[in-house]
Amino acid sequence: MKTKRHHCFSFCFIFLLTACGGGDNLSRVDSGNQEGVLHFGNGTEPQGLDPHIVTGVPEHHIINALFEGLVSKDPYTLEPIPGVAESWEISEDGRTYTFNLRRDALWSNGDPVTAEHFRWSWQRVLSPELGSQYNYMLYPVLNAEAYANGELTDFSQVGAKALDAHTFQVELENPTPYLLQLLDHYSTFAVHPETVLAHGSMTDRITQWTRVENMVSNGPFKLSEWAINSQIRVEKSETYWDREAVQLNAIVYYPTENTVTEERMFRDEEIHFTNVIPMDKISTYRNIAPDLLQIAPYLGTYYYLINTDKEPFNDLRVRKALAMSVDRDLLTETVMRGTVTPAYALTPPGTLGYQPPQTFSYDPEEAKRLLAEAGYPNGEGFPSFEILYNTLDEHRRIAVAIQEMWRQNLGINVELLNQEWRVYLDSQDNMNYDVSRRGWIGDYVDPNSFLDMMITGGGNNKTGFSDPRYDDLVLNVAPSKLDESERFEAYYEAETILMEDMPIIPLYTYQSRHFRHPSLKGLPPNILDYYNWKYVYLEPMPEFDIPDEL
Amino acid sequence: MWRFILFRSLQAVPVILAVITVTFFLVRAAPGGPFDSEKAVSEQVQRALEAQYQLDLPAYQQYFNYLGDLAQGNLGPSFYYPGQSVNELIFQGLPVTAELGLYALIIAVFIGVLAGVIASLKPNTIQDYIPMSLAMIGICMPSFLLGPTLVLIFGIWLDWLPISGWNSAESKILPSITLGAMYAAYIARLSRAGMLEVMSQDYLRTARAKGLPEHIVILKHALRGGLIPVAAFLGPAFAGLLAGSFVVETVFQVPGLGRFYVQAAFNRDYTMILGTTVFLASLIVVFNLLSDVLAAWMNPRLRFQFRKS
Repeated sequence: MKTKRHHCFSFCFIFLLTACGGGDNLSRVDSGNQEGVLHFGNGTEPQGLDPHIVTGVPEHHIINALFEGLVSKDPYTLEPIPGVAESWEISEDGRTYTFNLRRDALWSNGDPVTAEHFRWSWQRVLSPELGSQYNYMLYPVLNAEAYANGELTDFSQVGAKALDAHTFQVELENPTPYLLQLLDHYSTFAVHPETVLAHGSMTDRITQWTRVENMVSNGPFKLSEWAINSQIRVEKSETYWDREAVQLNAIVYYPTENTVTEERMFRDEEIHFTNVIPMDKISTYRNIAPDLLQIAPYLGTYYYLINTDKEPFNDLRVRKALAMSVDRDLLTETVMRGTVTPAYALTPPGTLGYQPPQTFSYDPEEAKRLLAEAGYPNGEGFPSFEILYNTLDEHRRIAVAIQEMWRQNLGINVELLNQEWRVYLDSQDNMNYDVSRRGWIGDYVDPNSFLDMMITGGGNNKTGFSDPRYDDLVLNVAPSKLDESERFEAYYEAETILMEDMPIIPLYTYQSRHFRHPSLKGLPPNILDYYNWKYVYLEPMPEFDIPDEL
Repeated sequence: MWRFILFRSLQAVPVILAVITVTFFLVRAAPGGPFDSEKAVSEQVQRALEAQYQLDLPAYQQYFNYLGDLAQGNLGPSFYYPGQSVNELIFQGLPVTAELGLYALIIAVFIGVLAGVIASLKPNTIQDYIPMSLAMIGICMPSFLLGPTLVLIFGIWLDWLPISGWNSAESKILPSITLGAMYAAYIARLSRAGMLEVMSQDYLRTARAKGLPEHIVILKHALRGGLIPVAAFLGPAFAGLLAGSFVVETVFQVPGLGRFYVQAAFNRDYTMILGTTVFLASLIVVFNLLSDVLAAWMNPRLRFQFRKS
């Protein structure tokens, strides 16, 4: 057990005569363990808590405690489990889902959660005026996209209907096998219409309904404190239908954007769980306290975009040469210290059983040959170009390693260009780059979450890649298949086309990295890095102390 | 004196207006907008977002709307935190930053003046070199190094003090010292120089000549004149503490204004950048004015000048 001795020390008297008592205080983690309060390092300060407006991961962690969708997920298997809907039926053609809402699902003010609340909420998300950046999560729903684009103004033609107070029916454009997963995403959650309307119109972004004193939610926890840049506290809800299963009494989320400070907070037992592990701390913890590390596969790919509109990258042989001359094993082992795994395709392997194709491997000889064939033997005459990345040390280290690999293996000269985040996004958006780093984290566990971004003109494509067969496979063929293996075949074919054309250079598959206090249980690693707070509990470990040598 | 204050206040108006205008157009000229994200959004969503924050209006119209709101004390809604107004965010962070700045300033003045006066009593001896070398280290040592060092020693090794947050009295000690250290060093150098200057003045020779004990000479006569440079520095220093506490606030997880100020720029939170800049610019103007008044009060010659003019 870590105790804190608050001795008076020399400076105290200047301004804090009263503060310096003696006595032993428990660390925050130890007292949290006794009271059932989880202290959680949450990355950055959330932008807001309106499920239909926010977009970030820190917001996700809090909203998941405050709200619950029709369906929830088992944190161990990621299988859909009942949420507000206690059961559902799927029609034979896979296009109609009927959800039976449980009668004991209540809002934190005691009102029942009804099907009409979901219909109203979906209309809100899809309303063009709200400007929800995640509205595309509902695009599989019949006519949803047309409504969001303003082509359709009558919401009753959208496939979301409240048949009665407790029956919600969803009609789809195509059978969408991952629909249930989408219903666990906060953009598809219901909000309490009366509360939203009490503080503005349906589509106001600038509204105060998410304030502590106004917020009405339906999840296992309710909001009790929101001190900006300091902490957000949620407490167990007494109206939640499954309140007996909820084991924590409260969760306190800390904005910890400085990862070094976050690690020190963890070491000082101020938080149970961190948002990340700083790269240079990994070896020390591996040697001294490997049990405190939680590193697990994560549904995300780190890759380089190639601007295929630009000389010399419009030559496929050049793109292949670049991709084949990167030693991913070396990169992941040295620069990334084994915290990630090499990637050879866009989709992470094992996404719901889908295995992406591997169309190439590390082959510097073949790369050299291809480059010579393209007219640059030993890199002679190859124009100098830049690798663009957003300012972050990890990105720089990777770019330096790749710069060196390309120089050694191909004899070409590469420069590095870092830009501040928004400038970098702007450059990418205008295709004002040669080669640029990018990462993509799947929104749901399905190859579609990765492959649909590379369609012609896709907002996240930004490489100039365009292939009609690819578009057809991703947009039409795969969605129409009811059988999963047939669907995956279509994705496999599409991804093969993509990787044969090499508009991107996959580098590694992400892993989530957290420090976890051993008293924290029920928060298993999974590829979405998804937490279901209902399952989380704390097991007091009065004897445990984080080693001082760290 | 009153004419002086009035004149200086009127001077501030064009300064603030220039700050607003330059900032307003500079933030909009920076590449990347407040709603850019890694995930592309549709044209409709982009337009809706711009409409909600009136970014669809021509720039000059946005500018005059902003000035109109500002005249009523309304700094507008934050672009990055939907549902929060810039006024609210500033007044949430300000008390914390002001408290931190005040403690830091107290520490800085106490340590700085003490070190500076001690050093000035025996110039160019060991009693001068040691405090002045420490002051030099204090100036050179950036707070992102000093902060973590203090945390390591007092927070983790000795386990005396909490290392983050701003919720208990103990948690305020390390951030205040970290922030105050650099200013303590400046003040030490300023007070040493100021003291050395007055020590050679005629009125002190007179004081000594009429047989006053040395401690009275120093405390009553020399200090008041010698600390004028320090007093003149206090205003800008406090404004600087308010605006410059970003690093300390980040290292110690202090929920103050400094973090908003810097994050707003990264977030392209136009109204927040403007709001914090205008607010801090006004503070600097006010504190400069106050420290001029204080200096005038301490220096009879200046007071006399005002009276004559």
